[in-house]
Amino acid sequence: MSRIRKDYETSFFRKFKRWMDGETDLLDGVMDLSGQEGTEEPVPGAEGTLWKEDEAGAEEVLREKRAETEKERKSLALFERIYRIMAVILCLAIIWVFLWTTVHLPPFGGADNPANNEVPARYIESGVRETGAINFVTGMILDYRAFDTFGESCVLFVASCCVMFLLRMDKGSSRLLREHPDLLEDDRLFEPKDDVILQRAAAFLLPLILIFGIYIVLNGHLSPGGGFSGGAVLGSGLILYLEAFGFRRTRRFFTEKTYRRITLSALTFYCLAKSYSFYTGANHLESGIPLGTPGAILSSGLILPLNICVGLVVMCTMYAFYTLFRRGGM
Amino acid sequence: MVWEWIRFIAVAVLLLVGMFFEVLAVFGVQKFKKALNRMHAAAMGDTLGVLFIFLGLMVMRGFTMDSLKLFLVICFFWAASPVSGHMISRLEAMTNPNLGEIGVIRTGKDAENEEDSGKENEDEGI
Amino acid sequence: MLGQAYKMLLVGAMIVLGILIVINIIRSVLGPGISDRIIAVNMIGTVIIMLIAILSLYLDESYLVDVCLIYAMISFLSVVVLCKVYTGVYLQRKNMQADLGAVEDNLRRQEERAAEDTAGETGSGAGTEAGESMAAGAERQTADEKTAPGSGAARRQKEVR
Repeated sequence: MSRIRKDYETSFFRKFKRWMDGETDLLDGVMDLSGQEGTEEPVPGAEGTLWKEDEAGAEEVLREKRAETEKERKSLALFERIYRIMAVILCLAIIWVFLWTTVHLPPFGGADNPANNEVPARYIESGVRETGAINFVTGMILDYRAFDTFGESCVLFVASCCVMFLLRMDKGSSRLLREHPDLLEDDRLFEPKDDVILQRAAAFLLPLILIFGIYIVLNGHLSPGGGFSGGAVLGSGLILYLEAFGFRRTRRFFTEKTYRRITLSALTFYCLAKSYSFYTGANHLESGIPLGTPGAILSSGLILPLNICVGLVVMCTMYAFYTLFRRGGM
Repeated sequence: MVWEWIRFIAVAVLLLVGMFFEVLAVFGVQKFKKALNRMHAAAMGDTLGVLFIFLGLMVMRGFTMDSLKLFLVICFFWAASPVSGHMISRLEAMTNPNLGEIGVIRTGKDAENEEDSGKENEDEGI
Repeated sequence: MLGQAYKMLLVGAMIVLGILIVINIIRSVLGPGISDRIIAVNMIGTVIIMLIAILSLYLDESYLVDVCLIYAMISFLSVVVLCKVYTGVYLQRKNMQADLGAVEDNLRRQEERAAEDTAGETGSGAGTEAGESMAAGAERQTADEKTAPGSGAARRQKEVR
């Protein structure tokens, strides 16, 4: 009976089950079992012989152990090799699937593509007249489907809130920080600081990047771009500033309080403006927002301010993600 | 028509020179063994390759807004690529203990202290 | 005729650039050190920017040039951030203060290694003298940092001014 149980204990299924239950590691179980047997094995007998026998037995056990660990290492190396080969095969399979899909896509701009039904026809025919935006895509996402875009901005906000819950570090969050509050002040302790070359380059490049981002945001209804891409460019500019000059400089103008204020006011303005236009539109009222001449900067009604709102939210979210994952605070 | 063909030949020559530099850069990155040597090869592709290919595209495009944007890309590259090279070389110099011999330019007191020895070294070199 | 010639030229350039991307991906997988990989990834970014620019002329879509600019920015930013993060991780593992002193510390380690290699020989030429003075400077700096942690950056700024 006991012998059966012992077999069961060392059987593959038992090990697999224990591993699945999370009790032990698959490889640790083997090592522990052999160690216990080794300690229990010596039998009491005559003193002189016992010592010798014991040593011999211990040596044997040691050799067995060593052989077993050698075997384990070999199997681990084999597993590693197979793992790498499988990873490469997986990557190649994904690349092949993508290329295959790209080849089998319908031709660009074909008249009988499956995407050409009555919805794009409506957009193309009366999009400019109804929204005032030359760029159809912006007119679509900020006028016809503005509710969807509002949800996306809120998702960004909620995501940064969750990251803040999980990763934020302040004086009350851990014992180490409570004991050494100077760690919080002197962030990035181990990183190179104040790189002069990077600072000069950032001082030259940052205005270009920020102006380009603002151009993308403001020109969203005239040319490709819009809130999301322009906000991403602005956020990357802020991250570059942070990398060059450190948290001490960015904290002067961008703290958690500014983050909260900018995001909340942008989302609230978006919500109120779109509620107003939905309300008037659903009740067949005149909204009273002038559409302007298509092509001018100040045209297309609410799209320009909404673009600015979305850009601000995206910029703040990118910067918040970066700082939270980097250091745990802004 | 003749002018169009001359323009085409100019574009082709510029693109081919740019491709040549790019291929050379990639070949150098594959061929060299140390990271700093690799950087030296890669910087050529970042400057000359980008310059010639974008010049070819600008000639192809003519005087338009697009050409200005392409020129901006060249400017951005020439400003940004040395900085990224500096960051990479700094990472390599800090982390790799088997670099061989490297020299460090220092500022302030240390440089003043070692001016004499540097001069001596220069004299020996000459 | 002319249009076809342009198309063939651009398609040929794109094919060559695609092959270069594949070669660079292999290097970024094989590269022994972290900086080799970063160099390869940086080169991939450059080649992709050229590809996008050529594609914008091939498809005659001017907005792709904007994508080019944004890609250049993001690739530059990624290289800067990756270098900083990896330097920080390495120094944290070594438990060293980050400064120019780290480079000098690396130099000092090399000197020590060279001294170990030539142990027994007590030759002191001009080169080794310079090395010793460098090592002395590094020691001074590290001693400074030990006495006042965090003052390294401030001290260096003073020097720069």
